[in-house]
Amino acid sequence: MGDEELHQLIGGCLKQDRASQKMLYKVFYGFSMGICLRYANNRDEAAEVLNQGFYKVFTRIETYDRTRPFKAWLGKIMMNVSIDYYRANLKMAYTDDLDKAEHLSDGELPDRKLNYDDLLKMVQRLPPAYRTVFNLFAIEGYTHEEIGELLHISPGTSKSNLHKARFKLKQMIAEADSPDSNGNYNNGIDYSPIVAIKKTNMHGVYFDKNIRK
Amino acid sequence: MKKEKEEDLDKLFKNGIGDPVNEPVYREADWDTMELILDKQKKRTGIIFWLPIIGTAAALLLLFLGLWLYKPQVVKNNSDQHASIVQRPKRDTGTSGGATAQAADSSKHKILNPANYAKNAIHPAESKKNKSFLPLSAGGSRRHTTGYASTTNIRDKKEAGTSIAKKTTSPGPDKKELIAYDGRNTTNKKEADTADANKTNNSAVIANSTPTNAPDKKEVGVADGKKDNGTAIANNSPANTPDKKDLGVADGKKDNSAASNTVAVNAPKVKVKSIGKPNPANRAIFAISALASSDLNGVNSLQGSRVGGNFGGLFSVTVNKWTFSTGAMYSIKPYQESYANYHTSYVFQTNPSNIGVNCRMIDIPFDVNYQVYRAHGNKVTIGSGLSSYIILREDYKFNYANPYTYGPAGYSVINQNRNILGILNLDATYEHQINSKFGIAFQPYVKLPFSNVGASQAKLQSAGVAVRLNWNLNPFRKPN
Repeated sequence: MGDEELHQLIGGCLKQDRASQKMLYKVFYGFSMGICLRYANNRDEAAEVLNQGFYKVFTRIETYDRTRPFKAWLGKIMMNVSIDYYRANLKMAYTDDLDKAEHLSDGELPDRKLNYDDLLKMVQRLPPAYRTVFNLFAIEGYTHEEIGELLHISPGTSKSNLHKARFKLKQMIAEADSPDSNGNYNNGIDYSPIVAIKKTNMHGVYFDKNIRK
Repeated sequence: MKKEKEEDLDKLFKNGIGDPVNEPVYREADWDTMELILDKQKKRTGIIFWLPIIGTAAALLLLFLGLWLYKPQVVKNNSDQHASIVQRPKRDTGTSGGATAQAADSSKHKILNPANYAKNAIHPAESKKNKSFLPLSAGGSRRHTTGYASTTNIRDKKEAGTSIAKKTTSPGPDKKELIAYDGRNTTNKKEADTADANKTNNSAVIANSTPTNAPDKKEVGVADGKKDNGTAIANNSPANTPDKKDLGVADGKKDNSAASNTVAVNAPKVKVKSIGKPNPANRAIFAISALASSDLNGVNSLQGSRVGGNFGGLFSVTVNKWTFSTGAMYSIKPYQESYANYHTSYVFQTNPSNIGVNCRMIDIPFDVNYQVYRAHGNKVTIGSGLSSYIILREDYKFNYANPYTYGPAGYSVINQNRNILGILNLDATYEHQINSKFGIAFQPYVKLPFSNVGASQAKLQSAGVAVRLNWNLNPFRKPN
């Protein structure tokens, strides 16, 4: 989808045109769901958060500055809605298994490549407080100070949560790597109920490959 | 080394899920849900848009109702005049003619002779324009009285003559004028005397009059055969019926013939109205109140109830025993509900044992109270009404039986739910009036939902006690 088409869609959304809204929703569904899935516990919750995010997009689209990339604006909304959705859980303290952290922290990363589903499921298994900090730090690239401001926690808590998130992820990777593991992390060939992978292009649906980032 | 490994881990996840090569597949069901949200919000936006208009209309209706009931049902000028007339004869009853003499005096300055009469600014012909009915009645009364005296009630002449003889103020000059002016109708001095006697009383009657009534004027004019007389009679107010009695008393024993005739002529037109001070009981009292309350909130007969608070302002109108009130309150309603009372489409892997909820909302009540007791500045009322909840925020916290259960810990809903007139209010109020302006009230209340409240569709009930500080905007003052 080119810029012109995108602006036409945005123009339609400004007029609360349902067809334009649906088209925008379809075009950016994958991109938005990708963000929401990282912060959510599962696909259903992610869909709920996604709809809350799109609701904000549709009701506040007049605040979008057309000189800036739409994807960045949309991504930020999805991220903020996800944080809000789990905000009540973000300050919860988890103290389990921390004593095991040290001997695992230097563990080796797996030689084999874990696929998207495997990694996503690992992140989703993290408690919301750890997951959110890990997402913001490792994937979005925020600093601990910025994360502290976003989540209303101290940078120290952010660091601590990141440390614990990494520890848990390493634990999960180690479990997945073990030969007797019967979990889902088996080269990604097991059935995953979390996401369905798109295999063919959908007819009549625009993809946002040409949209500037 | 350790840091590098951590960075590698971060990189692994960033590359793996940060920018997925295969994006999640679009699900039409998700758009259907989205569409439902948009449709629901559209309707809700409509209601929100109308809410201020409905509120304004309700407030205006209350104001109008209050003002309408507050408006005294009397003609103000007439009531003032009435007061003066009623007082004078009563005060002068003993002298039997003081009041009449005054009335006669007032008339004699106006009409000196027939020639002057023609030029008189208070000529009846101008009475339609000139609403100053007192001078008009003075002029009219004299001639009207004479006319009546000459044609009717001869039996009164004697009495009237006696009455005049007793007067402290001599009606002498009037007599002359009357004889000269009313020569057409009065054939002798006795009649004139009679006229004088009647005149004075009628002056008083007519001094009570309201502005000229055209149809009356015509009818009476025909009856009397004289336009001026007709005008004078027509000027009588229907409210003069009591005056007749007063004047009768003032005259002591006699029944003034002209006065009674006047009333008789006007009798079909008479509309007896209650004149004087408005009944304080019908008076509307406007008040604004500051309110704070603490209540228990819960579902299913306040199970798992928690203490919440409310504060806000109310505007009320009290008429007779009825008080109509509305306003807005900010309410904090925490409560706990079992999972059985929690409604959601979300499927939990492990159901929470209970859910802690904290709602913040605006409560807009419309209540009517009826006074059941009042004495010594204390008042007890009972009331009922409907409230609308505009829920600003709902925080849900899921509590699991096993603290290590995997599942969502909670979520928040912001500005999404409304219950328009969906809550029944029941209350009893004890109010103590501190002074004419301020009062304090204690109000136990219960709020019962007609409709389910909030995202979890709970039957949220509240019971508590409110404390109100009332400020009467138009406190009652004793009339001077």
